[in-house]
Amino acid sequence: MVRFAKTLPTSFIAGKLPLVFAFLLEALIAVSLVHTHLLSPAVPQVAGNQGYRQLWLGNVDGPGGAVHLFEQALQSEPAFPYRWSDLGEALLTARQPDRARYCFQRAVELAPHDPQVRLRAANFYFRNQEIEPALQMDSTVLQQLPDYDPMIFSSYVRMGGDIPRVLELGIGSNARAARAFFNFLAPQSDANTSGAVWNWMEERGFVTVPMALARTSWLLEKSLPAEATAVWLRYATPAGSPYRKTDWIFNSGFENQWTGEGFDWRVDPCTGVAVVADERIAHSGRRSLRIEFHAAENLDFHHVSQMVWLSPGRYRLRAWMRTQDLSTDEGVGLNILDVNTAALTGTHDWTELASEFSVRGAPQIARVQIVRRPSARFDSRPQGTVWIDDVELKRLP
Amino acid sequence: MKATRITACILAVVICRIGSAEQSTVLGTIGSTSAVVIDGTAMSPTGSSAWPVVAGDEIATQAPALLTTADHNLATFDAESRFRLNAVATSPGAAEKQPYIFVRQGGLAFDARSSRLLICIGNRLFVPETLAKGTLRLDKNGSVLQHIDSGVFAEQGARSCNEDGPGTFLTGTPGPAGGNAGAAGGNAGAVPAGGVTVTNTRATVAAVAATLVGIGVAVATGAFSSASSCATTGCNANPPPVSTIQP
Repeated sequence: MVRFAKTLPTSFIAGKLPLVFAFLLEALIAVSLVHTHLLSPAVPQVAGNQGYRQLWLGNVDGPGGAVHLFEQALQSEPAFPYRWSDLGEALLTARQPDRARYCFQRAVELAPHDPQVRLRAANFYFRNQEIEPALQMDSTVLQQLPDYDPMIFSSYVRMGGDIPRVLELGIGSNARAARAFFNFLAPQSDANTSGAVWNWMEERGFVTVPMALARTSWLLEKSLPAEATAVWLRYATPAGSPYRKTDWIFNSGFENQWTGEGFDWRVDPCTGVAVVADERIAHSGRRSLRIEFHAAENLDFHHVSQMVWLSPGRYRLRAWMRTQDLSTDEGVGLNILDVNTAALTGTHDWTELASEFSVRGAPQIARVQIVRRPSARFDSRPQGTVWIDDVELKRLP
Repeated sequence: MKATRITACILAVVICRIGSAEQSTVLGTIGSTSAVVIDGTAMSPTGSSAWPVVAGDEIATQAPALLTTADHNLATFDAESRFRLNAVATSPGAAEKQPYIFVRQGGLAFDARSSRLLICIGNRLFVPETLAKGTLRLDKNGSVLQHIDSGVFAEQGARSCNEDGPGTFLTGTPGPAGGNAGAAGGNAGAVPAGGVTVTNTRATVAAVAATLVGIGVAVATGAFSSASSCATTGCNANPPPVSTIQP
């Protein structure tokens, strides 16, 4: 190219300069026209963007305002639902709620299954203090997909008003949404609100067993053992179970894997101790609980436990225990309130451990624990294995 | 410790609001290019470009966020700001209420287009008069950095305030410490170690509006993603002590 230019006579280039300038001028005008056309508000995307800019700058009314620009965009794309939503938001900001409502209605008509169109419509209703249509609109999004659950639930809590109306209109017959809403509320709500939602869910059959287990634990944390017991009996206790009829221990033979929730066995981690279900050795049934001690420290072990809710009376705690090579002078036994059974060390075949105690006055919540107390001896690190089965807590006549 | 206090604060707010039969009045909307966290819930811009806000909302921004009040006042919050929105009576006993912004962290550029704004920052009350534009920010030491581009402050930090509102109601008369446009923004006595910023409010608002247009485009093209969520797990080596709870 350079070589070619060098070969051209200077007079030739000078003679063509007007042509070159004319060409450049034409190109400039063409580019300018294209540019003008592309950036013209007649192009809906551009008008829409400019509309947003004006909306967020607070310029809503008048020529060049957000409403004007969104109207221009809508004229170019009257079938595009987002244009209607954009205009609706601008109109509401411009205090024209009736026109805004029409825009959102059109948007939903054009895209009845678009969650974003419905979310924006719901937000319009919330902004305009029309709570019932807002809840109904959001409920249709909940029916479609779970992606917006937290945002919708946040709107319900902050703007939805009383819980019964939120549940009826904002959740309705949507079991999935009901469970998600309950879980959203659970960490935050007080017992009354949580109870109202729970009862509503129970009436509609939306409660699942895992929810009931978690609910029982929550009620116990809130010091509501009577309510916790009722939920536990309704959802967690198998039909025909002796639980709370003749035996106050749940899953007393460890036949089912413990959940750690509510009134089931809870096993907390403890360094140097393994707690498992043993399917080869059992006092009765198919399984027992096996605790293997390989401790490098002098343990204060109380990491297997179960909550019990006891009315006044006299009780007998009983369990069957087997041990193998269980070292140190401190054995393994059971404890409830301030009562301990005997504790076993060394090696024993199935041995019955039992103790009696009384609950006086009002009903009490208590914890049955499998315990090994710290040893005062030099040889204090427990080694060996313990099996426990058929733990019973019976009320004495 | 600070995070615990924040969580407790949000939790307390939410607990008070759940189940409340009283319907909250929407005070405005907030929008941002990133999620705005309201009462602990991330409100994604992919769901809606602007979310309604009500009295009692605890709001945290991740990116710059634009709060538009129902009467068209604007407040552009810095990224990583935290504030509580409340409504206070315009005068003693008045039923009419106006938004009240209690800034916990970060700062904002304000544009009081239609009425006075009530902003409590650094526990001092600032009241930009109608048509005032400027910025208020908390620095790392908790001092208030103030700047006014145009208009005046009706109050400029002379009164103390908390998250519920100013100590006393506004009288409607500008306070004695009102600063003028372009002034050095000197503090009115009690303001702790305030300073002057060089922020151009108009440019800030325009820049945020420009970035927010991106949200409109994203929404218009139907692009959305699920909201992020987080969960925490915890464990306790020891079970809680045996309790004897009387029902």
